[in-house]
Amino acid sequence: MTGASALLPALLALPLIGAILVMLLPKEEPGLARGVSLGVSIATLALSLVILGLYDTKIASMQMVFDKEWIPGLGARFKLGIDGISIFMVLLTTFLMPIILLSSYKAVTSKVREFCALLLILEVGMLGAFLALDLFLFYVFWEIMLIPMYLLIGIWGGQKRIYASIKFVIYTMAGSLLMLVAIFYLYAQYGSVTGEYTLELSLLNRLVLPRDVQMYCFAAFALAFAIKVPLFPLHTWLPDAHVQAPTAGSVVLAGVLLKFGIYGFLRFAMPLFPYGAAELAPYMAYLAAAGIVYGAFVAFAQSDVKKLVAYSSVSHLGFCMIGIFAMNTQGIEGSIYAMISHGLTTSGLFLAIGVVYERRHTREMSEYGGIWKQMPVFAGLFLICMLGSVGLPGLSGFVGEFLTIFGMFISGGTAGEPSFWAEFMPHPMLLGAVATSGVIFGAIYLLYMFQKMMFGPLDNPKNKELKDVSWREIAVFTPLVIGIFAMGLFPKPFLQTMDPTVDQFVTRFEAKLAEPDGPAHIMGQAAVAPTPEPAQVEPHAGHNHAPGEAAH
Amino acid sequence: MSIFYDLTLSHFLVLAATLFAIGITGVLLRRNAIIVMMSIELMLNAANITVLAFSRGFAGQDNNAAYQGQAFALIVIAIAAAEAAVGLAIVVTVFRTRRHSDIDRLTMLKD
Amino acid sequence: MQQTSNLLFLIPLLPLAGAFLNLFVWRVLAPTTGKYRQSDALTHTTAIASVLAAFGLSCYLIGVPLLEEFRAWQKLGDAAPETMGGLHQHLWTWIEVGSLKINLAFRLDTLSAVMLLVITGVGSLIHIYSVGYMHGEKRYPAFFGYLNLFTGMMLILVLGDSLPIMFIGWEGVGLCSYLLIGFWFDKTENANAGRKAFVANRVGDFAFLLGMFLLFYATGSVEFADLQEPNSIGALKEVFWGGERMGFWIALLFFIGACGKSAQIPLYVWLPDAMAGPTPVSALIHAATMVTAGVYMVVRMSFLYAHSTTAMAIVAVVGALTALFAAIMAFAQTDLKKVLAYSTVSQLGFMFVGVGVGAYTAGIFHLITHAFFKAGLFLAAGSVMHAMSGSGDIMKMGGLRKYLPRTRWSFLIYCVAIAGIVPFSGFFSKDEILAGAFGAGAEGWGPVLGKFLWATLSIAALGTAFYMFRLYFLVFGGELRCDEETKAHIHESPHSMTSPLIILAAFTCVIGAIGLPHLTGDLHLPTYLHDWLAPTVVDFKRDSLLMANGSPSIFEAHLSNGLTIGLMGIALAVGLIGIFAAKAIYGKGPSEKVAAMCETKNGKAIYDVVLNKFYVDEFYEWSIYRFFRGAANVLYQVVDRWLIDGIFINGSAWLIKKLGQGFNLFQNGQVHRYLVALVVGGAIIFFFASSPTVSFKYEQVSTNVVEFTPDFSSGTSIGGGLDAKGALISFDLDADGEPDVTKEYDPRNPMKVKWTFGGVGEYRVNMTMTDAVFNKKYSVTRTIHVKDLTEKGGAQ
Repeated sequence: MTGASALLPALLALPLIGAILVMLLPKEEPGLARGVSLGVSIATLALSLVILGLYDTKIASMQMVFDKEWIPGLGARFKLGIDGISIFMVLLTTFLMPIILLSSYKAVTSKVREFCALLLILEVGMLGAFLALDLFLFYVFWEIMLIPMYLLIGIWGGQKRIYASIKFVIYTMAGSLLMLVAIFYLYAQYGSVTGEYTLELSLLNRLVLPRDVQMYCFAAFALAFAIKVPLFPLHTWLPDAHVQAPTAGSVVLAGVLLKFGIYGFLRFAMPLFPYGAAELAPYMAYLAAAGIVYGAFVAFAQSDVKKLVAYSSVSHLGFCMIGIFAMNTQGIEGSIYAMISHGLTTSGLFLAIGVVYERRHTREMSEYGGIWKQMPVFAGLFLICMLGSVGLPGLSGFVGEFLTIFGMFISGGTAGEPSFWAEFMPHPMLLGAVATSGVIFGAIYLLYMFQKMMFGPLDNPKNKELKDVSWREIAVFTPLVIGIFAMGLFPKPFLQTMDPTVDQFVTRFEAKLAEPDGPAHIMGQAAVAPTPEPAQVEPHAGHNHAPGEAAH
Repeated sequence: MSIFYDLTLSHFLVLAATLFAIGITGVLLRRNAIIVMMSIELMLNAANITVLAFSRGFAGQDNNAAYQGQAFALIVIAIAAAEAAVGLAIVVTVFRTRRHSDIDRLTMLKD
Repeated sequence: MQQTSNLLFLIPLLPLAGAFLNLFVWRVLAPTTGKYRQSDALTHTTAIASVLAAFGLSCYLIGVPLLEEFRAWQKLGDAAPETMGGLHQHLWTWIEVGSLKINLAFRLDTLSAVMLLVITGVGSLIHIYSVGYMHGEKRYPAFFGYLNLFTGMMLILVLGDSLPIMFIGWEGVGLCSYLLIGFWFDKTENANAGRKAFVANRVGDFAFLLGMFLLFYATGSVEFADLQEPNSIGALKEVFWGGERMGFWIALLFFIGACGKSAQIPLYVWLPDAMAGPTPVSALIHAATMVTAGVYMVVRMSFLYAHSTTAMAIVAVVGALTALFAAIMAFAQTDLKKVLAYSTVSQLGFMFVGVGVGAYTAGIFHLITHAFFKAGLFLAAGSVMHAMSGSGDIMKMGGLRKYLPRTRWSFLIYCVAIAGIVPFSGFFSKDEILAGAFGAGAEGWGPVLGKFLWATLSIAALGTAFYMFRLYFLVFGGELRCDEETKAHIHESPHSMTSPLIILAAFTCVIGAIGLPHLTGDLHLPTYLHDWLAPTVVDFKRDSLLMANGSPSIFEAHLSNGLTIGLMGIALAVGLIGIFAAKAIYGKGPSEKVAAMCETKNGKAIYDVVLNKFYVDEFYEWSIYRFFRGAANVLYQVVDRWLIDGIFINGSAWLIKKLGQGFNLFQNGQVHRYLVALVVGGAIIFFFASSPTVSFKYEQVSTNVVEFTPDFSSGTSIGGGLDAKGALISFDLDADGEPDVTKEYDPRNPMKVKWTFGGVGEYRVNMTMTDAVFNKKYSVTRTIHVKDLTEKGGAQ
């Protein structure tokens, strides 16, 4: 373990200490709590940038691994690490957190101390879940995230906040319980095969379960993650949660929390159960494509602007799902890219809605109209976020959408050389075409929203009093707008950082997928079949040890 | 005395079971709290007989177990006395406040 | 053969920088945020300077390095390579993932050079014109900012060296079009028009994207240079789907993309509505540049289209039909700009016929001439509307020749040009397309397709001449028909507006010289544009690649001199007939005869259909918009709220709640009941649990010898308890119904029964236990396997 390995636990400790600190502050001074939490979140951002600086973009495997014994009786370890998939998720989290805190300066006036502390704890949970390399540790962080979010919606939310928060928690919990069962099944299987009981991901990754069992286990994991994504038709918690949550809650929810679905698929469900993933991939992809179109249609039917944006997330995350089930570098990197971009653009949209909501206390689109005249600067910021979300080339949204659809389109390989995925993914082009139609629908509903709010005559007298954005609000939007442009124009550095990890992901997935069916075994050590054929054993000879896995 | 020595463990257990059944019938069917208390005493004693029967059954094979059984019976008697005291006190208090001791009419647990 | 140029990026960057300054920097530098006001002079100086600089730079790059390269290429004669690299600049790699690599690179070749000059040249004039036209506008900086942004995006579109880069510009111009159409967004119709334009364009973009993906699927690249390699071309010839070649499907998808951008059937509906934008926007975006992007793209991809005669036929037929229908729809319009809009749609149809029949040069030629005269027409229309206090109703105009002399003369020149009268530019370009269509013929086209296209276009040309001069006479001829107040305000526009008109008119007069008719022998005339484009555009006569691979070929029209001149005569006659017909009917203002004809039963029916643009908008409104709305509402209310959320999610919550309420009934507070439940439940469990389940284990200890042990582990009470002591256990090992071994059970010393069987095989063994207290019998029978121990032990 090198000195850099202390960085990741420090990244978790910083907001945690910050949260405790904020709670110790006097209750009468909300400004102090805001300032301290903002400072802590910026420090966390700085630390994460240091991590980015030290991150070696040429290495595919986990870096800065921190590994300590945690619950020896269970075989659970406190193991953290970062790679090309998680690094941008971590950065997205730390990047959004100061913005969120800054944006709620005016919006949250009651129980400020608790609010700030909860957001910091939420940050700990999210970072922990992105960094965890132990299934049990991940599960703990995964559940930790729920609680602050539950309280954020339940305490600072809107009219129907109780319903929304309970729905959110129960929905998510119900999904993750089956995952817990699968985790322990995996644990028991690994123990019975090797005699060593562990929950460490890199070790469990080497276990190959019988194919039918892989399907069940993948389904259990997929349920938990698909709810989080949210994959159609498991999405109905999302609009309620978004609409009822305070702006900060919506931003965290859309910006980071939803990403755990896709991240979970990439980090856990797919590498652990490749055959299950492959068998169920078409269905997931169909649902994702359906979700893209469905989310767009339903978004168009909304009169509540926040709900519209919430449904747009269903559509956008559908692209990410399409991307990961394309099972090629383009699709997966596109998916990660689309997630980051969604984190920026949709957060921007929610913040923009927050800006007008603070002024007018309504989210009905018909209440607005023509407010470009009153708020030209705001209109420009809103327009950029909206266009980023529509997927205009040159802005961030396009690259992700382009790559995911592109990946799906050629997931069966190109005309010259079919890929291994061709046998699992029927009609990739049809799926790609359906996903591409999201390009049209996205324009329809987002432009409709923009027009309803910004264009048209300024005929509502209440809107004539609107003030344009303040400097604080400009400061909230500026990083997002810069991010949207930077990611749209210079995607290569981002993609380059992901490249080795994603390439390795695909190769390993393919290798593990090719393992023979049969009782649970460690990769490359399949039991000799009753009628042994040499061809069955040979291709896996090279995978007895996975390079880079042995970091501990 | 020979009759006593001919008795097997089963005989004791049957007796205990009978007593227990009588006790439980009393608890279930009678509504007067005092009688319920008495039935509970009956059940406790049934349990005591069981313990002693096993204690006797082990005698000669495992003296430790035999003594433990007898000691246990003494503890049960003591607890039963304490329990009776507390129980009667509760019944008396209930009677004072409610002017009855009909347990079917005592439904405050519902709330 | 390609040169590297480090200046190329400046061409799009300059206007983009202008936009950045106008939209952002000047505003930030303005003293306050809320009610900023930057000076108009600063705004338009920035904007115009940036475009003029881009124009100057383009002129330099085209005039010096590119021209040199072109000369060198020409000198090689037949030995020259088929394509010429031109100037190339690689900025940075935009996206690189796996096998997909997209460079942000620009290429200036002869084709993009032509577009560059049109965009920056006409663009500069329109910028200058806007100074006068947009004077006093509150959002002056925004207007010029968007205009600059548009110019920059259009330049990216034209210069892009690969499809994705082209797509950046392609979408970027769509965005600017959206913003500029809806520039006066106070009116809901304007905002709607902008949205309609964007969405219709997006339908095209959808196809563009799919085409791009399919192209990568087939060839593994999206860069123009790579795509023209023999390998890629070979991949395009593979049969892909529906019996058609890969090339056909890709070409078709790209053409749908072009239909969206260039307003062809069925996606043309947005263009007439787009007239809601300020007039300079209509001139720049919706006449001269953006709408021609589709034509440019098809020409850019000519190597692709050349491999599918079917796709080319579709392009040509769609173009011809659009040309005709748009011309008819223009007859009944009474709004000045709407007439021009339909005229644009119609002229774009002409261009598509040109590229569809393989006369790529003719298509580009018409694009150029059209850019000049149509931009001029729009600007002149703007000048007229400026004079008429903003109204565009031609029924209220007339006699303006007296008031607006400069506008009138330039308008007349444009009209003559678009009507196709020699020697104005429109004549030459239109004639080249007509000649191309007349002579076109390819495998699978049949003998009449070319003639059909020619005939359709000729009728459309007749219509064009007619409606343009109808417009001219209604606006400038006859007597003034407006009210007094408007009349009082009529004035010729300022010089900033009229001088661009005059410059455009001058170009309209002379630009035809770059594409004189193709005559042979002694009559041969220089064909500058054709020669200039030769190194970039597929030439069917000399492209060895096409021939070598046995591709079905389309031959550019090589008609005899007599036929060429005859066709020119017909085209000229058609134009003149149209003009004189218009003069006869509308020479003195709106014709009563026509009005009367429209009142008759049949006349009215036809008139209404034409006036309402064949009800296409209504059709779309019902079939698409209403459908989308309805589907959205149904999906939301029925599927999302009712089915998924109502039944599945809240339904399960409701079920659990009801179950809870049901169980709540048991909790009535009577300890008695609780006890009864406890006792009864306990008794039931006890009853089931205490029924002894007797069984036995067995183990084969040696050959044929099996050892049996009673096993009460799964039972409770009697079986597992002390009272099993004294119980009698008997085994029946030979299946004769009589016990063979009987023993008293002692739990402290578990009994073992050994038995020797006759040999390997299966035996039925029965064990019976007799309870010592109640004398009850419990019995179990199992089948045991006696194995050959030499193989593997039969332990269980």
